[in-house]
Amino acid sequence: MKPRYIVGSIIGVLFLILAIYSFDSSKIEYTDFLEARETGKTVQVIGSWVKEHDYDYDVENNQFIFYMEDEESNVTKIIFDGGKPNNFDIAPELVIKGKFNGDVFRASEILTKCPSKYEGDGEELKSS
Amino acid sequence: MIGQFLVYITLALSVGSTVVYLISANKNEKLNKAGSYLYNGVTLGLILMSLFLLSIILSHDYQYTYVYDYSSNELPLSLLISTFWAGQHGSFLLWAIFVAVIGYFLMPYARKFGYESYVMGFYSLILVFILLLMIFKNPFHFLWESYEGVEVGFTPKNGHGLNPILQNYWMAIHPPILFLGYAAMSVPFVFGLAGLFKRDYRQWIDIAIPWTLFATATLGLGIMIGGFWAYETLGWGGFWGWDPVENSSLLPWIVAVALVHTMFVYRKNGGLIKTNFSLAVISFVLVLYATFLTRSGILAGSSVHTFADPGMTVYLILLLFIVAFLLLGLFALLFRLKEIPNPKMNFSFTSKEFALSFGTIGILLSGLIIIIGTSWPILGPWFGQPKAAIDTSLYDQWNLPIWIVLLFVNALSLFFRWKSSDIKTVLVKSLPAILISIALTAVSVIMGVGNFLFLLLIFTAWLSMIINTQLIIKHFAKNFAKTGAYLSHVGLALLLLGALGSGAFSESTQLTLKEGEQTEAFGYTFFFLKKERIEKELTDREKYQLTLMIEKDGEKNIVKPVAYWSDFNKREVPYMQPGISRFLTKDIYVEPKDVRSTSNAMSIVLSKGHKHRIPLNYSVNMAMLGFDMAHSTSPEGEPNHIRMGCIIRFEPHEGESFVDTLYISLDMLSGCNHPEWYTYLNTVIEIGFKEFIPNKENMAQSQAVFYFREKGQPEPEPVTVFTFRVIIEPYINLVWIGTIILFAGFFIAMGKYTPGGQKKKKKKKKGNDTSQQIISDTAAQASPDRATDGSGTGENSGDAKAGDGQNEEDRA
Repeated sequence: MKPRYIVGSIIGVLFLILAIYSFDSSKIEYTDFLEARETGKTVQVIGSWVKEHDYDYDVENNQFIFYMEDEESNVTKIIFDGGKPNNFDIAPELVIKGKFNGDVFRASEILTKCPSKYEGDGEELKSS
Repeated sequence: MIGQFLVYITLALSVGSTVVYLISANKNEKLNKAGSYLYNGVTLGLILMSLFLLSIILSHDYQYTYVYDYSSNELPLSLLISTFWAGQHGSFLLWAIFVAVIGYFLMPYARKFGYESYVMGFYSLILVFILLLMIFKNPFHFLWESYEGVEVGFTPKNGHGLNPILQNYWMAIHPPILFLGYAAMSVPFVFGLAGLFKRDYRQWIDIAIPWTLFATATLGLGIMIGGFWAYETLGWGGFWGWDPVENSSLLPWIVAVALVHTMFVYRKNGGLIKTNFSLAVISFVLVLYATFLTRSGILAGSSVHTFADPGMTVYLILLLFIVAFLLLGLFALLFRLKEIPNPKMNFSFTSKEFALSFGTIGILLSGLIIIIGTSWPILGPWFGQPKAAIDTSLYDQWNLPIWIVLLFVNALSLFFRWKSSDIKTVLVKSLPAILISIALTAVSVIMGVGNFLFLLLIFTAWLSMIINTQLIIKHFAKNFAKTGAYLSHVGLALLLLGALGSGAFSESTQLTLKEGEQTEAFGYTFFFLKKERIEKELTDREKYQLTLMIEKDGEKNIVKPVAYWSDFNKREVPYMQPGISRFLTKDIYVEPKDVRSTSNAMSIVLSKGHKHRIPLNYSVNMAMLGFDMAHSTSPEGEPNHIRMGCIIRFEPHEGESFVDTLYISLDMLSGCNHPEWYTYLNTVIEIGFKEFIPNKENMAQSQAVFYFREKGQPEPEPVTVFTFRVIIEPYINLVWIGTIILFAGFFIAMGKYTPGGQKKKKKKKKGNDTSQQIISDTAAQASPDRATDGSGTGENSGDAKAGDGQNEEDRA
């Protein structure tokens, strides 16, 4: 074994350990509201906007407040730091990132679909 | 009907072309000829399909689902044409037509080098897969085929329309360039594959270089134009968000950049042949992987860009597409592995070869981090982990040190010599640049940059820029094409500086302004001058241009963000476009975030059964019992006016109440409503039923807005209040300037490697490094098996890295 191989493999192993550690610590799990509330960790939740509940934009604090239902049908109040995102109201699905603060889910990111990716469902045609 | 038929015919032709070309295997002129006819048939078929799609789009033939879904009568011509690629189906066609047309030019080129049959055979195979996908996803389905319950022959009068935030000229530019890049990435791959099948392990690299440069340049340009679009009009606040789909288009580009460098090493000393093969395969497989991630719906929960689930069949074809070409490349490579020449290269740590190999490893490392992070939501569950996404800050954390090292190596390596160089000479040569860079970095320290890694990046970026510029000056007159590479490095360094500035040092705040108001932020005064309705002639929208003036020390700048209500989402929420004020060293980015009507008057909103305190006298409650529709009448002579009542129960004290009706006059034409002011119990309080907000599903649940004023005061006017997000983006211009320089460099470099010029250069080069060329060539024959040979450090590690990337792909 030549020394450069030893040096090379040490660097490789170090890199691998560092990579595993950093990936492990920066992963954000997908979960539902129940589990998110229990663990209190930063998570992502997939769900949809509950339009029947009130929603509002708080101008002073720049917060958008709405209710979301996750895939397990748990409904929770969401406070998002920022305005209502583009395409929010036509997005069939939302993905929010954040964590629980008491009974309220504080979202730091809301993901709605890219505008080109909506595909028609023919609903309008049926009603017309 | 015609469209669908064309897809089937073209698929059959592409299968034919693949089979005939591959059977020919370069041995049969006649078969080659037949293959070329079949291939031209494929190209023709795709051209006809594209023309047909264009014609149904331009003639507003809404019986086609695709035309109905993405276009409408209101679109201007340029945007109407853009709806060609507005959806999943059309963008498959766009990809296919670009692949086909590139192939049309590739054919005579490959023929010239005796590469036609394998190159075009595998190239047609790519088209077979794309056309197979198009059998299921083509833009030629009729509405009644797509949606149940639609009558056969039904043609709507207008289409659903293009999403308003895509209605922008970038929609006409970004997707074609990106897909041209994707399509062009097929070329280095098929040359590599052809080389393996032909047992011609060297020549393919020379032949493929200009195509690789072209593909890398267009793909990269397409990606960055997407970033510019996102920043300039989509209001994403930045040009890059590390979204999985953005990443997935970056991956093939990163590997292609590595490939460009290893091809360069090959040209200089004949080495890194296996690495070149591996990277050519990986870069194309990553194009397919990007297609898979975007279109399979697999990342639906983690990316903003993915299409909806396309169905099992398409999912499986997409998967098969990747697996087929990955295995084809992998097995071809493994099969020939022992035969591939393995030039023994004698070079030291201070050689240009080593620096380039090391740089390649760094570039691939950056790609490896990105692919693992991007694939994490898919990979996690495979290893029994819960599904999780990776926080995007990870990419910054890793890429920052990687690119610091890469810029540094790039800078110093330019003074390295091939094989070995004297480190002292290198340092002496680069000393002026180092000193200037330190001085320039010190400026950043004075400006307040405290982060050590940021300063290192600034230092290495300056160093790389200065040394590359020195070489541009040196070669500018003598060998202009050679400056391309240096120019690209300067561009990249600028781009990274801009990314650092705009990413790490941006500041943002929120402003709430009425028309005519002003406020201060970041030392600037923001005047909201006016709100004007634009594009009034189009009835599908209500679009307002907001004019803001930004002033500091007498210098005035105007920004014009847009708020846009469209029928596309039933005018529920406006689409917002930012306005940007550009300065040399920063942008002020003003994006409307929210708009609402308020009034200086006190008001409350009630619906049936709800009650509320009266603002001017908190001891009194008013509850709404319902609307008085029965007495809704049109006053004489004013048929468009409706007088409507709202029945209110007033509760002045506990247990005490009376009922009365308040009226509003609704003007159905202008939408202006006039309350009939109601005086509350001989007090000064007047109540106006000012607005009626209908609830379409349940009319009885409609809402009423009441205004309150003291007697004798003027009628309160409603005011629109906008909330703007203001972001200061320092040095964002460097990103755009860097991008332009980066890709200009690529196109200049292409001139260096045109097939004609190449021979001439090669001769000249041979004269210079004859000895080395001979050494490596003889070494190749002497020791074909390199595995145990430790001398070629650079190549060994380069290969190992490429291998890693491949394993990664395997798992993905």
